[in-house]
Amino acid sequence: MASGDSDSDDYYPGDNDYQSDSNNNYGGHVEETEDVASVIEQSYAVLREGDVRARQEEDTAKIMEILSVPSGFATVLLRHYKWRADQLQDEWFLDDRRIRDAVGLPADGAVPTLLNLRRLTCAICFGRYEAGGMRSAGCSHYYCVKCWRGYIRAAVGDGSRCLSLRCPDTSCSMAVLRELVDAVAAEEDKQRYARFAFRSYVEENPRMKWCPGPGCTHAVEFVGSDDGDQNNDVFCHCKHGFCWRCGEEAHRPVSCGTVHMWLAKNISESETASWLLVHTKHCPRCRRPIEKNHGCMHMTCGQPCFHEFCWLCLQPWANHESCARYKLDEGTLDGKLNKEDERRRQAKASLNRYLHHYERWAANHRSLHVVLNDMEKLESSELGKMADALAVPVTELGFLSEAYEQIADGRRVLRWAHAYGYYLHPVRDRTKRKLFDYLQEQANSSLERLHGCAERERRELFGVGDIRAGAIDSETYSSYREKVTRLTKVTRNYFENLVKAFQTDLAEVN
Amino acid sequence: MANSNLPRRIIKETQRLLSEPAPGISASPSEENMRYFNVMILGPAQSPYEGGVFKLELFLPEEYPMAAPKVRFLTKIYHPNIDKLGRICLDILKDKWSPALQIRTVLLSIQALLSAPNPDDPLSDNIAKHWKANEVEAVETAKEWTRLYASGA
Repeated sequence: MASGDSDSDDYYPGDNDYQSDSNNNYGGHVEETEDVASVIEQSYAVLREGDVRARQEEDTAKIMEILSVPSGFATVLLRHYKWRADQLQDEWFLDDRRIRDAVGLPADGAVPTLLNLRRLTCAICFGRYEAGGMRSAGCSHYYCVKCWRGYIRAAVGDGSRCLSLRCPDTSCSMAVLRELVDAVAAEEDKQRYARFAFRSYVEENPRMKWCPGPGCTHAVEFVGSDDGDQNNDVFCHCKHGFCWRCGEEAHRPVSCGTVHMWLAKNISESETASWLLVHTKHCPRCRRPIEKNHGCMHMTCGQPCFHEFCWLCLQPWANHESCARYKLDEGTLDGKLNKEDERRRQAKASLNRYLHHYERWAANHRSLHVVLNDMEKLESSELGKMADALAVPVTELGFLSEAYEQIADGRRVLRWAHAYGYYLHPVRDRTKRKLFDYLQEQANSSLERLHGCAERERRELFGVGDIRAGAIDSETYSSYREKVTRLTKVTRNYFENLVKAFQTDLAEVN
Repeated sequence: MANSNLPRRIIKETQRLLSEPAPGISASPSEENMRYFNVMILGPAQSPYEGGVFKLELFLPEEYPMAAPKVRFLTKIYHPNIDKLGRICLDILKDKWSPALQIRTVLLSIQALLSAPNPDDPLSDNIAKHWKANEVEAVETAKEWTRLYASGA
């Protein structure tokens, strides 16, 4: 998990303490797993805003030096190559002319902006200007500073499109560069332009994304390969976990496709409609919605209505004989009604199945949020207090953080397991279902035990608010520590098995 | 007053539109508002609009020339890039606008659009479908509409 303490640690995936464990076999016995630290091979790095800026400046400076071009040129070129500096270099030295044409840069030796050398008319405002009163984007189309300012203001108002701005002359494709913007634009437009330019380093780079966590300003750089079914979950310093591929909340081991199907289902109104279809009809007299909860068709509305009617034909119960007789007499209609019954029965079964999974999906989600909150509290203050009470360094209590990481991971996996479970066919996938239920129950009960131990037992032992120094004897503490550590290992093992089973789509039973 | 502080550019453009009008195009500012122009475009020769006189309105927004003029057909016209409200689908009126373009260039572009309808980038789905499915018939309808609605006052 990406939870390094310093920025530099996060830069070099693979070059960290976790690496040595990445070859461990999780199918083995729990007791053999040596380290409880997360061992998922880290294929991404979390960058803070300052890190992103430093990287962008570094890349730009490198290109300026190697290609000997001004800063604005380097930026335009790097953006064209989606910030892949190496590819830009390779192709530049093969054919720089082609690249210059594509991005709107003048020939070698040119500059990002020129002043007029003689009196000219501005083609935008039609005013006459003396030499030096106008500028061009390095081409021969000069406009006055005021018109440039308006031109850039309008472009900046349009968003990041301003970074691709060209000379106003429609027959000219010369790029408007940062140097020109800084020379003519209003202060606030310069700042907005700079902001777009900064953000482009992440937004246009296919290997980078801003963390979508609420209020988070970090970026994530993905260095693994994101094709195939491998784990694409990334975890920001802000604790928000998201899927690199689809941007949804972390959903290992369920595929993006299942997640999107499930989320679409949750927001679709058809489920509600189907619920109403199955459960309710309106009393034909007072229009109150009525749910049928017994087998017989004789319905009696609640007080004060007390209207009695037939569920099937909605006629008053006194007349319902005709409904029954009708069925007997008319073979075709009889068939229709049975079909209708069957449709209702199926809709109801499908709805129950959905609600079963939805309830658990949502409950694990809520639980995950509680866990993340608890983790926050734990790390910001509680660990310190506990360490003081025990007279041990805070690092000694790392086992609790690890337990919480495992709980959060477990909640995430279980949550999405229910979306997966919903899409198992109740008949066709019956054997898969059995294995799924078995693995999930094991993982679930282990997780509940760990969660109870880390949460409730911890509070019983240490209290919540103030903890007196020396309140806990070392024996109680070490047995607690031992228990949490063991449960964390066991739970991790169960979840690894569950995840593995998912990733092979429960192939063992096929 | 709408006409006070009228930018030099608008004054110059207006003078030139009146003194050297483009062939088949006339544009004159309204007396109450110098930013509002009454425009007439003659249907180009060899187009389904030949012989028609099309009225348009053109308005220069406050941001002009940093923002495009707003132009709309007032005469009913059967054209895949013009909808029933007279709105025109033309790139230079939207994202391809540049302050180096002028009223004259915009009107010339609209005139050219009458000569070369583009059903692949439609504003009116039905007309575009008609155009693609049966161009001969669609052109006949356009001619018919020109006779009915644009035969000149």
